[in-house]
Amino acid sequence: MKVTFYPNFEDISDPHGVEKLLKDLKSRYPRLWALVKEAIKDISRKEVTNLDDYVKTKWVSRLSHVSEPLYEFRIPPRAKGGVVRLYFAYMKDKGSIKIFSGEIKIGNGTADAAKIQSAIQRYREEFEK
Amino acid sequence: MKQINSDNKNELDVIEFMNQQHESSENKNELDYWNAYAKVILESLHLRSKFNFTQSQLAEILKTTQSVISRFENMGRLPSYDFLARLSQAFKDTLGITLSGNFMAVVPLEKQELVARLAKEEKQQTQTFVQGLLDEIISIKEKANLLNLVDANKVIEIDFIGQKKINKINSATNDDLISPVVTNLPERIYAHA
Repeated sequence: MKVTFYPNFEDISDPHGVEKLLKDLKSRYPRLWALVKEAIKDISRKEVTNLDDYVKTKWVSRLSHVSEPLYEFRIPPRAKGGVVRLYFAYMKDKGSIKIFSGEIKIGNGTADAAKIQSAIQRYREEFEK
Repeated sequence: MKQINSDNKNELDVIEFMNQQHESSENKNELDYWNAYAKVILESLHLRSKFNFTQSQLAEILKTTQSVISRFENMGRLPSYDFLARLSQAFKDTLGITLSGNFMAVVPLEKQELVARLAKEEKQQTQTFVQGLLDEIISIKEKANLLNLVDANKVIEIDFIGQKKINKINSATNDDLISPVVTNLPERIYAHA
């Protein structure tokens, strides 16, 4: 299964952009970077509908409070050292998933509503094409 | 799970992007350092799911507490050798731990049952059987390379699970090298012209 992300070619410093998140992760949180990279490589070897292990262990869950079929990939699910949340959707025709936005969360706290809103907006743009 | 349709060309492959970032990174050594840790966490996660263990059940087997397992899975605790050894035992020696892994292959989880059964049929230890498969496939690749079968226009796909006996490739003649013909190859090896 291919794993792609929503790029922002116009503004690579876009605070909601996945590139920026990954670059920040690489330079500031190498341990988390390694886990995110390996987790994405791992799911890319699986079928699009076969993320059962991740669902079962609560790494992947549906964003229940939004109407769009968006999912959250928490890597790892809970950690004082930080958690990466990636918001994605399943792309039926390509057998792939696409990441629309994400965030690095350090310490306690809930998900950044703006990042989820951004994922919803990008999902709608994708869906309406 | 609901899925959406898309024909958007404006998208990037995450793995390609991350590989590129990783290789060109100033702190590449530090990133590499954490790879093995990340891999063992994910493998442990899949095995815990396969064995249907909760964190508490696994903790009980390892004679530790659930919070230790949780901290390990969440990268909050660097595992000791003792912890890894006990973890591997809990998963019936199926945990494939390696620090660098450039020359190591791991049988995919979904194929492990099949490989174990084939090894049993051949009255071999699983590890010996797997090593044999690897040796054979390397040998085939080597021969294919000598026969000039692998180039930009010809691809050899090899699925080595389930095929133990490898038939001998006919010795190469000059004609073969110009227009390679492979005979007596096992069914699972396909040469696409």
